[in-house]
Amino acid sequence: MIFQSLDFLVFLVLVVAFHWLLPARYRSIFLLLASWVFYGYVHPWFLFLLWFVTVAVYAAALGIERLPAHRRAFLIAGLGACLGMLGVFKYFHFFVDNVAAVLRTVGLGVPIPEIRIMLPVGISFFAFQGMSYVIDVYRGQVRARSSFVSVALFKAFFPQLVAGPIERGTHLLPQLEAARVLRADLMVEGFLLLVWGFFKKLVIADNVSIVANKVFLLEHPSFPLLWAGVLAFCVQIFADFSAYTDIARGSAKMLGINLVENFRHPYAAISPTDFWRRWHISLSTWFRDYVYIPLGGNRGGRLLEARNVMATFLLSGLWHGASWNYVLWGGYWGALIIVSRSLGGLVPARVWRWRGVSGLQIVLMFALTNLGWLLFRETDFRYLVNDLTLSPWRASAADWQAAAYFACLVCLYSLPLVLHYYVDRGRADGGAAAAAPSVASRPLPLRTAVAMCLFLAILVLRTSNSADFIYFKF
Amino acid sequence: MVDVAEKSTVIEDEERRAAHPATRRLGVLGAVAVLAAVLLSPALIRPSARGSLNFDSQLLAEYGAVMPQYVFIGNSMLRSRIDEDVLLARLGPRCCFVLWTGGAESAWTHQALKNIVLASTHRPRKVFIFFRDTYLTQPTYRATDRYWWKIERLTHADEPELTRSMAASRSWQEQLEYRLGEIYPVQKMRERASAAISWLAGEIVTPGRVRFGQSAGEKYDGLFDLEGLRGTAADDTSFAEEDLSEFDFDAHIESSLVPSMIHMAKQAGVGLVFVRVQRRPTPQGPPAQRPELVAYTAKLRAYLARNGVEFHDFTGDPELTLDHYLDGDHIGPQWRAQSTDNFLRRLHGDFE
Repeated sequence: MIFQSLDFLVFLVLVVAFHWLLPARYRSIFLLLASWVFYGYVHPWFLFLLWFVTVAVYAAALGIERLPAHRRAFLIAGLGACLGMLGVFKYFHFFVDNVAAVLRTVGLGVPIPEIRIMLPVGISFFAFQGMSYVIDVYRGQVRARSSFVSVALFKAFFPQLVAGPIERGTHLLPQLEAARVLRADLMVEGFLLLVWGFFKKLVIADNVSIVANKVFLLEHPSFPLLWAGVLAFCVQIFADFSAYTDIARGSAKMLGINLVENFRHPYAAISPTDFWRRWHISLSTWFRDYVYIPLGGNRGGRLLEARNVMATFLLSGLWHGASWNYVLWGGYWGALIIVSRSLGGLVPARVWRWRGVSGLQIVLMFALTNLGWLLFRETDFRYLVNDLTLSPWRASAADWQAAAYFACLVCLYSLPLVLHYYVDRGRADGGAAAAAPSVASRPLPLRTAVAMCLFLAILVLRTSNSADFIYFKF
Repeated sequence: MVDVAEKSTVIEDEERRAAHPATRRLGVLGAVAVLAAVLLSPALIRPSARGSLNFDSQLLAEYGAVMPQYVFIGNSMLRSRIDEDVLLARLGPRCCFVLWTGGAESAWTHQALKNIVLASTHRPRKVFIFFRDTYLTQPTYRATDRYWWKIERLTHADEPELTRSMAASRSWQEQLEYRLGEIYPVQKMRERASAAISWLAGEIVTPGRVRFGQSAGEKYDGLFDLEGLRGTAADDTSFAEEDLSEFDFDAHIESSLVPSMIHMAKQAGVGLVFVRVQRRPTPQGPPAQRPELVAYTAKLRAYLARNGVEFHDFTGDPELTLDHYLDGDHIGPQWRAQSTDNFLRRLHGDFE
């Protein structure tokens, strides 16, 4: 089921109503069944995968705790189930295509039978959530749950099942197991988050995606038009993904559950490291805790640190999609972080405090982020090479004019995001109070008025055909 | 661990705040206020959503002035296959009139036939309607929102057949959406709002060039013509994502606009010819077709034959190989003349 559908709205209203009408002891089982309906709504057979991973993770975690002598074997089995599923359903074609290409290169071309494996939505998200549970149990950070319903609901909780945020057992499991109390303020906050999320998706992301999609369909875009398209994609991917998170968090709040924050105004980042503290936070912290730190983190000198950073980001790139451009995108961010850390030490500390420096840093980071999005969006290397070799001097005045028009259009649609940043920046830049939703601190009449405006804007400005969320395919 | 502790404190704070009766009261009041605002405010937006009076009489006049013998109706499938200049050269001047618009489907075709071709006092000999696969029996396909204005330009205030067909073909979700559209007629406002944003963007870049409220983006449409698009770009409809229910010919034919088109053409004594275009072939040959689609096409052919209407299926045409295709199901511009000749050759009987 997709969020931006009438089916989901009906589903959500029914689930929220029944959830609170039911006696507390039946709520979790009800939520679990509702989550399975949500996931199997279009393709019921996808449920078998979810059930397979759930059983594997549940059994592995119990095995780790109850049979300490074999805990390592259970860890490997649990991780193997998650990674195996990912390997088959997400990376099989990538692997086969690359092996075939290598064989062709060395003159051993063999006909490869075409096997079409459909990519189940959200597979990377629930596989990673499952792995984090098994690892946390292995590390002793989370107690293995004997209740299958708890583990299954942790794996399948519908608001965050398909595109995150990737939750940890330490945060979500206690909330799912606790007796939830209906609270009007949480309902209102949840509703406002929903409206804000739908606004970002239906008004901002879908409208700017028209520009991005047009430009990336051109065989020979001019330099300015290409970068207007990249700017559109830059806005689209943030509005689209953060909208999903807001809708997920809003829906969860209506069920009395707080999900982790996933975005903190990433385009206000002042460095590559800062960007990853603000962008897809649940994934970047996942890679930090389960890949970067176990590899050695920043211990062991500059060279080892660089190796660990690069390995983490290459894997992060591959997580996004089974295509070399995502790996390149990961490598690009890894390189940026390594370079910025190296250069950061060379600049005297007082320079960073100079007036205007942080503004320049934001502008520079935004430009570098856009370059990254070009690598992310352009899946065909032939076109990517063409894009990167375009010359601004060969563009005509008409090209510049068209590009300026499309860039202005994107900026106009992005104004609410900029406004939101200015309203919210104290909290976002402070970081410490990240869990407190910004809307909570505003007077209720103001929140009501904002919600009304957003709702009207959705009605008046949404596009007719809403595209799928970009992160659905990951 | 630090994060978890911080979040716990925040949650506790929220719980303390929530426990206060005034906060709870405010929360409930707020929820009611938001709900009331959400339900009532869109109804204040008055412009009509459907049944517009924006009929394009200019097009009707143009048609009347040409008085063609042959009329071609369709969308980019027609545009990319038939070259009007070649038609004029082969069939003589004032022979043909091509009615096409990008993204148009069954509802637009019906309206073009009804309100342009058959509304004129001039009667052509034949009307060729180009379509893909099952779109003829999907009257609601591309008949809403951003496509609606195109239909609106061929529509009068009262169109009972169109209204009946579209109502009968909607799913429950579409039906609900339509009803909401009736209660909250925001469609017009949507067009105006996006045109205003486009105008503002245009005004920033080139001040004073476009009249207030008009979309400034149309002048850049030429940049994205079919000829400039990537050869590998996927078409706008995917074979893999088709809904199986659309292949149920018997369930859809009566609620579609096909019977109405046949009836109107017969009444007017105009020959109707349906032309099914070939989708993108494979390097090995014709495009793969689902068994359901093959069965659907056979039923369509039989239905049209029973009603005395011609049907031509270009699927499997040996002269239309993959090399001729630009993107998706569109033919490349360099092959358009050849495709037109191929068409005239295949249907030569219709032009004698």
